[in-house]
Amino acid sequence: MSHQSQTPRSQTLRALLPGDVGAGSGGDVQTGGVQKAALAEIDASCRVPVLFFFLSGLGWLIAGSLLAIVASIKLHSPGFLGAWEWLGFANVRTAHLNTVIYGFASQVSVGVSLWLMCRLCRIPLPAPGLVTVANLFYNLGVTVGVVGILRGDSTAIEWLEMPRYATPILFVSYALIAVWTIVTFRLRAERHLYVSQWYLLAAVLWFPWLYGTAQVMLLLEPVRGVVQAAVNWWFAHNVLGLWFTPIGLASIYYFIPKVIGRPIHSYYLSVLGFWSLALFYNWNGMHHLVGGPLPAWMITISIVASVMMLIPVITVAINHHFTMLGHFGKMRQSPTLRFIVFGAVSYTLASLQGVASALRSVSEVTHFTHHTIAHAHLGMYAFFTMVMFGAMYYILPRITQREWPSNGLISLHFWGVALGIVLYVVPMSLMGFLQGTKLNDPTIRFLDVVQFTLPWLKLRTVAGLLLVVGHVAFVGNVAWLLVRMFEPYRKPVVRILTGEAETLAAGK
Amino acid sequence: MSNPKESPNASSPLDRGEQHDVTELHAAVLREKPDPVEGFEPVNLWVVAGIAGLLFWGGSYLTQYSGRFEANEFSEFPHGKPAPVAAVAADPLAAVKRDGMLTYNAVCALCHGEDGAGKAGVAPPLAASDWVNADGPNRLVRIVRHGLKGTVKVNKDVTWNPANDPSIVMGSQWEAIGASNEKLAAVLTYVRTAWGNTGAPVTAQMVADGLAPVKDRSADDNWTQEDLLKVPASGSGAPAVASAAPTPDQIKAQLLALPDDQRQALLKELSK
Amino acid sequence: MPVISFILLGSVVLLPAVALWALRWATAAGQFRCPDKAALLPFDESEPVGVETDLILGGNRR
Repeated sequence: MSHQSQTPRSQTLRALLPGDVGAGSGGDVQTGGVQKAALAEIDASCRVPVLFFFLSGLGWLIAGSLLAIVASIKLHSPGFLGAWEWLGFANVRTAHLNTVIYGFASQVSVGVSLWLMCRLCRIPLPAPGLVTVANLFYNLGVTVGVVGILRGDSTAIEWLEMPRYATPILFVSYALIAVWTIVTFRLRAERHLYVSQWYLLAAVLWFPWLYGTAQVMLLLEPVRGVVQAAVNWWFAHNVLGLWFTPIGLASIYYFIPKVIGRPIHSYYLSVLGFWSLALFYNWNGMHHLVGGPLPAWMITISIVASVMMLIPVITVAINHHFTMLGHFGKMRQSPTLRFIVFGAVSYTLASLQGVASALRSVSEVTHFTHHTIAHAHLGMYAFFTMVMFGAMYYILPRITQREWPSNGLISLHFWGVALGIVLYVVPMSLMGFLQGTKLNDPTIRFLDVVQFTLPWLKLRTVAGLLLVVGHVAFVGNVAWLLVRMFEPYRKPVVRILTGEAETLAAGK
Repeated sequence: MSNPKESPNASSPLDRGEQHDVTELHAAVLREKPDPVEGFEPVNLWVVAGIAGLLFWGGSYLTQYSGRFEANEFSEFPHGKPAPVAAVAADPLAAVKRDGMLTYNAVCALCHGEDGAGKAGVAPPLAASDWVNADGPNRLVRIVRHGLKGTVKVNKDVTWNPANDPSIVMGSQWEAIGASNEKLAAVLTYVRTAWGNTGAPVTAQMVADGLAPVKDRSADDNWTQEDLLKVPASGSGAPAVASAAPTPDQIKAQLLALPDDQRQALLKELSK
Repeated sequence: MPVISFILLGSVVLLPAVALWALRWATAAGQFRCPDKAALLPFDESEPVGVETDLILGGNRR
């Protein structure tokens, strides 16, 4: 571990930290002048901003789920809610995507990454009020954007549908969050970086680059011709790969060792996994344009880079599997581990499916079918959202100092979403493949292919309803937890926050 | 860790598992003594070999399918695509039928249906129709070229548009299908072989021959059933009996337009 | 489109530069030097290696 001396700038920044940092910890360890803080102290500092991010994220999750159900029903019963034109399929589907991506997933990511960053830097969150204000502005931006989409102001550029009057608010509040993550990192008391921090820092820097470049090149000063398609897919794919994936992996790398009390299997592999992801992922987007009028080399490079993604994926899979080996039984006892392991396994599956469908021969069949939609949900939901649920199960009791009120609701949540997403992804992948085979057969009429998809689309609505049941159970449990937070403090909770009970009792 | 049943606080549902048994906790610590190599596990050689293999594959794929990295090369096969697969080559008419199907579905299917069953009050059926399955395409090419109006009898038993409604008219579809003999041949080949129809394929030459006698007819001059039935379904397509008394010059021109053997046969018949 | 060209050229130069700088910084700061220690970073004195956290559900205990 290196003991670098602090620069004057970070001396100034350190004034942001509370004066008694580390007072409660047994920390004789002092690095760079900042004492390491106790876990409970860190959790308490994160309470307000992280709660804001989680709660508003969950609000958008519910809104996004309902929009998804409406869109799904409209696919097999087009007349559903046909009287409201602002709820037309194009609006609802777009609003669903934007609420779950920018409203739910991104906000929960920020909450998790702030908390992880503080924990791994061993310092309380500096100036939490500032992050809370950023959260309020971010929510304002998402609200304006989603309402704009429902009004019909969508830009019609995939993943960037939010109208131009909404994006500056989002960009500024996001920049504030990113800067604050880096400030937290600069103030760290622990000099050595854990692999999760690599992922978090990279994600926090990659996202504004992606979003800014795409905004400029597609909306402010649009490039012309096929370059638009290339930039669009570069952005849309990298939001998954360079923003959500790193935060998901950072969480897995932290929570598996933490829950089972065992370090990661091989730190070498985790470093290799990070740098190969950084090297290969951002080339991937153009495999969505196989068969399109792009120069052949652009698509070919994308395909090669997609296959090269096997390197980070397999190293990560090996690492997580060998860390978990012999501890799988603990998934029954820990809701966090349950969701995180489900997500980790889905990450491997989603990546393998993605590699396969990037190949020209497979893409010829699966392109323009429901296979792609199944794949997107396998990545975004079965991997990322499940990991975020797991992280929230770990973080929420610690920042609120209360236990989860209902084990039954935890089970309902897990089984609802686990069954729901399996019932969503497996049949839809299969159906998409069959649909593609039929579409490529000139002797089969297009309408027959549409007819063929109908029963499967109805099954998808059922799967979506299961997901909603799970979400409602989770939100109910969180609401209950919050109610408890405002109840008078009754009894020290020793289950998780070992050793902090007396301090808290004295404080009340 | 505690078993809920043994925990002193088990009465409260909130305290499940909260009570830690000290010895058990220590047992866990002792059991989980960090393995000295944990977190320090070197990268497995098989993983290294796998990565090397992947990189090699990536390099070769890039060399082979990158179109020499040229900005104007849009195909991953810059030296021409390999020979088409055998299944397509097996039916020499497959390409023509496919072409015909695409045109049919885009133009004709709006009224006749993608399955050729026709639509009540709009268009008569084409599937299993004696008009479509006739020996030759002469009447069909005229219908597409100049349109059709009035009552039509299909398969002896179905009378289409019996009231002779003047609003039910098929206009000329010649421009719509692309105004070429090849396109018309492709569409008719598809119609005559699809949906269980048994007609022979139609070539562009057959279309040209069939249309030759009526090349001056206006596209707005729709045919009627009576006029069409005077045209032989196959052969040159000249009407067996002229609809109006032709001038001697017209007869001469028509005779000259016929192939030699037919002209001889006709002259022999006339001289009787 | 000069604005676009500047942004593109700028990011083409800047991003790999940042990545290389990060790699160089990490090597110089000894981030890759002791992986055994790095793997232990999620743990501290109050929750050391071997302490399982978050096992809050009943489950079947062996």
